[in-house]
Amino acid sequence: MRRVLLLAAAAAAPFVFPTLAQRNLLVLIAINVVLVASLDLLMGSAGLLSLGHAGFMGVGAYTSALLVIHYRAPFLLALAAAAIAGGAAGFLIGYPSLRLRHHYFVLVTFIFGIILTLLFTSLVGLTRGPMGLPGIPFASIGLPGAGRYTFNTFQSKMPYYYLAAAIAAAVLWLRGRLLQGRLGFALAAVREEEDLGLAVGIHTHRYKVLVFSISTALAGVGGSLYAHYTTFVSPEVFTFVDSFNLFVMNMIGGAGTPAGPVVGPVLLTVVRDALRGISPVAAEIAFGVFLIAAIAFLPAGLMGALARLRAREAS
Amino acid sequence: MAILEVERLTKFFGGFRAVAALSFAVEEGELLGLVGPNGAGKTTTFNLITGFARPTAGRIRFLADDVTGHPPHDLARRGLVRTFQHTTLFARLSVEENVRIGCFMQLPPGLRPTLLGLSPAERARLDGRVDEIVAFAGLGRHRRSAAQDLAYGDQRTLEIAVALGASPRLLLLDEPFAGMNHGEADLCMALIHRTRGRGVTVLLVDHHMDTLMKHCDRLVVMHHGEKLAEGTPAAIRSDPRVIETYLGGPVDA
Repeated sequence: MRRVLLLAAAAAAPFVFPTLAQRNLLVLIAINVVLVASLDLLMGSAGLLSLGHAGFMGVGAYTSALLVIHYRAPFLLALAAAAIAGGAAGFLIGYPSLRLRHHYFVLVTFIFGIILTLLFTSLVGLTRGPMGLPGIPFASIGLPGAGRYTFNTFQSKMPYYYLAAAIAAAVLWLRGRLLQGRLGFALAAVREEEDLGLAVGIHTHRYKVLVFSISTALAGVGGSLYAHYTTFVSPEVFTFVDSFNLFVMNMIGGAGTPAGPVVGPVLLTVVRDALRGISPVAAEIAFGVFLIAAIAFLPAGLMGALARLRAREAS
Repeated sequence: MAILEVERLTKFFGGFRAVAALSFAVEEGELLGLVGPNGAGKTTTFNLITGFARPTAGRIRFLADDVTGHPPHDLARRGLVRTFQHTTLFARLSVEENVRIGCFMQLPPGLRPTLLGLSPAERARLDGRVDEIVAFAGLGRHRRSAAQDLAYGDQRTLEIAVALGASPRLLLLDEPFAGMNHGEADLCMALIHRTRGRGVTVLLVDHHMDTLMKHCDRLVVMHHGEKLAEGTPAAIRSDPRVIETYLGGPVDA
């Protein structure tokens, strides 16, 4: 029921908010839902804090953009490649660093996030470095069997919003399913008490690497969606600050809650935009105050606080 | 037949010798107590056997396989399952969820059950197993309570229930009675005896000589990382070295 309502709201949103600026925000929210939902697999489900998520988003964004620019790869293929590249980067980084626990692991994700940004900046031959990659083609999805004809309809905001929202919905669905199986059991053990998980036979490292790879693969998907929407990527959009923003959206929405990865991006994107509308200079300061207040009063995030309120009423 | 054999097990922490050439065996089906004063090396021995620490020297054989230095999850898969000295549970999860995670190794293998969830039949089989263990441990009334909200005695009981989910052949309990009152300790002991009825061999570590004397088939007494004595409670009670250093000897402060 709640899912149907959410889908209906997502479908109706571009009609309720018809201006270009509003629809632009809607697209960004949908992309952020993909990114935050993927981050929540780590933070909410496994209790693994990652401060390098934007780096993996960047891996996906560059992979997808370069494939389409240089090889005219179809969008869906580039999207899949972005997922594979993000997941592969996550596997390579996660396999050694997930041997560490707690803040040591957080520190390593932070450092690898910075290293990825440095790579985007310094691999000039591939990424054009700080100049960025302009002219990334819009997403286009071909009709099977229709030869060269493609539905090149993702240039304007409305169709792109539906594309991004559909992918976000798929990611949210996948997130729900992932937590129902062996992986979900293993992650709950990792989050709550990893040693006890080991003692009852859970090869926790294997499942941590698995979820880290899945999470970074989905971050790659988010990066691809971003690249083909803005049609321009540069190292500046995949920095530590961007990782931190995803982290904050996940925290404020409520890490580990079903609706958190939707509520966080909606709330923060809207609040930030509203503040910028009032005064761009004061916006960052006011946003900081908002974050401090949110963390002070809602340590489990908005959805976490709501869940606790409901539990109190029930008992 | 010996289910677990420990041979000349030794552990150094820097220059400190925590366990020194300790050898003993656990026979299939028995309840063996590992006893000694605080600092005797019991918990270190326990961690070495269960793979949470690596021995400096010595061998550990479980069901005739050399498992020295194997990681805990591999040992658990072979049937060697432990509990912890300090209450260690999935604290925010319910009793039911705790036991369910304990049953992890009974989950069907493969990509679909790993990534996309269990089928209704698989779910029902798991639930049945969880129900059985929760009832066996006498935690039925609390099944939906969060582990952290249980009374202390019930928490320790739940730890054993979680371990039972992993179908142990040998269950190692690290000071299960620590901090319990008499009533709780009796209930816990009763559960341990019922557990043996399921064909589980039990190795119990504690520093309460009296409790272990009363319930164990055999005892291994440790002192300063070494084995002081081994035998039935009656033999231990009359062992002059045990009497001197542990039971009746002068207390060294």
